[in-house]
Amino acid sequence: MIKPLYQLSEYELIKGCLEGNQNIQRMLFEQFAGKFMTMCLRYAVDSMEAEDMLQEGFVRIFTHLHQFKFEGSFEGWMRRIIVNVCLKHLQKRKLQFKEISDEHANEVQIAPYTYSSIGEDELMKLISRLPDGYRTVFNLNVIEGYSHEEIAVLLGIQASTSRSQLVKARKMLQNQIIHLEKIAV
Amino acid sequence: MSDNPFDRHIKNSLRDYKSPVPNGMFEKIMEESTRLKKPLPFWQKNNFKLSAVLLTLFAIYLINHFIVGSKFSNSSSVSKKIANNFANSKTDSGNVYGKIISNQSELSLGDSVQFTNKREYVSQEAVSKASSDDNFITNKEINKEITIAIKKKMPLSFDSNDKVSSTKNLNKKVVTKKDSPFFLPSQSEKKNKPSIVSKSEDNATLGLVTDSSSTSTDIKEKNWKSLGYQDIIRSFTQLENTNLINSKPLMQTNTTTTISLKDIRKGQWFVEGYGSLDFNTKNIQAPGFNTDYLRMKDSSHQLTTGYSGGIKIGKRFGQYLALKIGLQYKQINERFEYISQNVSKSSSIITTRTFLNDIGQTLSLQDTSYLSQLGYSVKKVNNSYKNIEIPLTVGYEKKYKKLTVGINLGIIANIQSYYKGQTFDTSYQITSLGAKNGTGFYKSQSNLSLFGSAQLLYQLPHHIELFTEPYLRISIGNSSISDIGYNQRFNGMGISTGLRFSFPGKSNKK
Repeated sequence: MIKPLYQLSEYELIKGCLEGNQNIQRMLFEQFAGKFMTMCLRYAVDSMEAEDMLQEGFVRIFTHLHQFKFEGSFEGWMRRIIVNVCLKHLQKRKLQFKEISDEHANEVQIAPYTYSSIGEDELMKLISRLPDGYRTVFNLNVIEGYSHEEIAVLLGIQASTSRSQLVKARKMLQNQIIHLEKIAV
Repeated sequence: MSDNPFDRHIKNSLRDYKSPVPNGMFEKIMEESTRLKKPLPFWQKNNFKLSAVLLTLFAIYLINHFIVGSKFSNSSSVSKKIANNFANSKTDSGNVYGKIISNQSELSLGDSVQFTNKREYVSQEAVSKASSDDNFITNKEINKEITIAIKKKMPLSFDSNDKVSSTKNLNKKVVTKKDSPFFLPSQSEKKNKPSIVSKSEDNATLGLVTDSSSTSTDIKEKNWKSLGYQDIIRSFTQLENTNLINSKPLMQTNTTTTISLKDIRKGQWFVEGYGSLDFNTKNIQAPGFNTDYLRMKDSSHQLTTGYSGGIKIGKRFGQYLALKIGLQYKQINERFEYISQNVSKSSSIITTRTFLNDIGQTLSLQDTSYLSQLGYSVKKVNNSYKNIEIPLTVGYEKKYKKLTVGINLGIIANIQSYYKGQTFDTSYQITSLGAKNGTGFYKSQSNLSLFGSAQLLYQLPHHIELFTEPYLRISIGNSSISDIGYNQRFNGMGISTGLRFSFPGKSNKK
């Protein structure tokens, strides 16, 4: 007898997956695949690479599920695996941390109403247009919540590089949003 | 979390945003996972069980080394004490005497002490009578003490005044104090001088020397010197009433082995092999579950006699305690009977007729008809639940002559289970018992069981004991997987019979 997903506790979900119950494994996949696909799309250059990242990420989740010790959030544990897979793919492409020359010397002060109306799809497109280094640092710091020191370790760069990349990424995104608003108007 | 409102907005928008996932992604993941999935190593699948076993073995080692072993002085410390004692004594190239601390806590029956090139065994009575305090007996204190001299070839002799004097034929006799209870009956050439002679030329000579006055000390020393003793003399206090006649003779050998903790601890290990017929019971807990299904399941499944067998290795701690660990195989048998409804049975009936026609030819005519019967059949399936387990028990044993009585308590850890047979699921469809890909009923690794038994052992020759051990085991965890909706456990009882072999050592000497 299989309970519906909403009745399964995290323990039962994991236990069912460990026992090889494909129904429960499918439930787990369907619950988190959408979110993790978004994550992969933010790191990948295109949807094909994102699909590869997602597939590899879930394979790792299922094969290493026995290592989860029920300490901390299960979703957080899975997210870390997906992030590591994404970074591994990026490192294969030899991530470049370039400093792009910027006409605007100072950071743009953008009003909340300017970006609050931007939809998720648009935001995803804007982020995907960022250079690799900017995009990676922005994703890791702003969305995943890694500190610059942690990013420095993950990417093999200096923390100061991470900070500067984030500032540049934020500036570029804001400029793009402003440009969009102007076009919209 | 960043303080920047722009960052916060981006995070809140995108963190839980779901993008479409291509069709067939899950199947690809499953295929890849199955291809990559290797069976977990034993030590990962059974972390806690393996840890428990390793911890137990480590505990046995620690107890053995630090607690049991510390009871006994190591050879170097005893030898050193002896050496120190003798450093204060007068020694000669062949004549050595002095004192040894015969502290009961230091030495035990069967211990050997090294001094120079001889090894001696301590008699039980001597040990029991020895002073508990360090009691250095100097030569001058020999007055009131009884010394036990181990002589190889040269016995002492006393004159009629109980003084030590030399004798000519020292190789043959030991003459000792007449009234001393320590002396064995002797065969003396002089009737008024009871003496002890060696029991045999090959064995050591038991001799006991007493001095009743200090004035004899010098004489004794002198005589001993002249006698050329190469013996150890040990002094014990308050031995006057000890009846060494009943004691075990002190023997000496020429080996150079020092006190060995291995020697002392030998005989503590044993191994058991056993087999048992088991009677098992089932315990089902299913709050709110389909009672019709449970009733039907209960009536169609019947546990029959199972069996188990295995080996255990154990170690004794002190006189009474024993720790055992082993490996065993346990099989629970069950008969499953069910009625299969709407069973169709078809049969064909061929009728052959022969007849003669008008012209006398024999003709054969065959009629074939088909008969179809609809009914039910009773099917019987023998189910078996096979388990590989690690039992771990602590026992208390007490020996009464040839019989040993003991009780054991412990746990049994299941490390692997296999199932063969059939049952029916909640939709009353016949299905396999085995747990494969989450479709079975029972776990491939169950949990722990509590174990208790009483053991009766009978001593046979050659360190072998025959034993019988009625036992009871109660399962702590469920054998069934959680998905099926109810919890099932197996409990059991039985009588094991087996043999125990104790590894020989000094402590096994009775």
